[in-house]
Amino acid sequence: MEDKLSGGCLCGKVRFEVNEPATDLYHCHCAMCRKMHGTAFATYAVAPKESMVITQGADNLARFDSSPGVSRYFCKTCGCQITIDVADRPGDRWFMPGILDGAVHPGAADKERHMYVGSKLPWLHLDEILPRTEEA
Amino acid sequence: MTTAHQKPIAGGCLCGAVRYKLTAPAHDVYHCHCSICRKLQGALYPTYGVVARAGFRLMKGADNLKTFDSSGQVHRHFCKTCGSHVFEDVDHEPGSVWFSVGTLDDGADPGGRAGKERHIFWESRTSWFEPHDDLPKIIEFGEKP
Repeated sequence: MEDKLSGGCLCGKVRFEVNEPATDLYHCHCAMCRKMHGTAFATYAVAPKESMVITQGADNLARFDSSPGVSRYFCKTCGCQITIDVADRPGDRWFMPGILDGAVHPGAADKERHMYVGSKLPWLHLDEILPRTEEA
Repeated sequence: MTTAHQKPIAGGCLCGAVRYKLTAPAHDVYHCHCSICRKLQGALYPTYGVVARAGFRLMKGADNLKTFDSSGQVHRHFCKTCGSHVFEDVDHEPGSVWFSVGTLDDGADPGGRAGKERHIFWESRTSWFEPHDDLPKIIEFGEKP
C-alpha cells in the first residue's frame, strides 16, 4: 500500500487520511451492511484508531448507531458512509476502501475475505478464490 | 388465494424511516464501478435496479430523504437518519427509477437480471478486487439495450 492513504466522500466535504496499513480487510454480506450502503455487499478495512484522522469536515458527519456499540458516520451532504467505531474494539476504526482516492489498496491483503456469507444475496455470484465465513 | 411469492417486493433504508414497494420487476440491473458511485455509497461497486416509475412506490419517509445531485442530471436520495442511499432519479430516464438493490428486504431478487445484469464503467473499477463472474463487463454504459 501507499505510505499514507487519503480519501473522502463524493461531495468533498469530508476528507480523511490513514497513516498506518490496515490490519483487516473484508467484504461483509450481512443484511445490515447491505442496507446501510444500499449495495450487494460492503467492503471494510480496519486500521488502528489513531491512524485514521478526519482532516476536514468532522462537523459535517452524522452519526447513526446501527446496533448498540456500533456507530456509523456518514456525510450529511452526500450521504457517503465514511467510518465506523465499534465499542468493544476501542483501538480500531473501520473505513471504506471504496472511497480511497485513486482506488488504491488499503492493505491487509492477506486478511481479505468474505464474511456473513450465510446472509448474502442468494443470487449474487461469489468466487471461490477468497476465504469465506458463514458469520463473522 | 394469495401465495407468498405474489407479495410485492419491499425495501427501505436500514433505520426503517424510508420504505418503498416494487409493483413491477426491474428491467435492468447494473453493478456500477464508476468513482462517483463508489464514493457516494462507500462501496467497491453499488448495484442498481432500474424499474418503471409506475412500479416504484415510496410508501413512507419522503420527508426524511435528502437529495444530493451527483451531477446535473442525477439526483440521489438518501435517508437523513441513517444515510442509506435508497433510490435516484436520472433526468434522461424520466420514466424509470434507479433503486439500490442492497436496500431490498430479505435479499430479494430485483428481477430483470436475465440477459440484463451487467457490470458498467468497468474501466473505473477498483484495481485490486474482481468479482470473477460471467456477467458482461462493459465500458461506461456500453450500447443502450
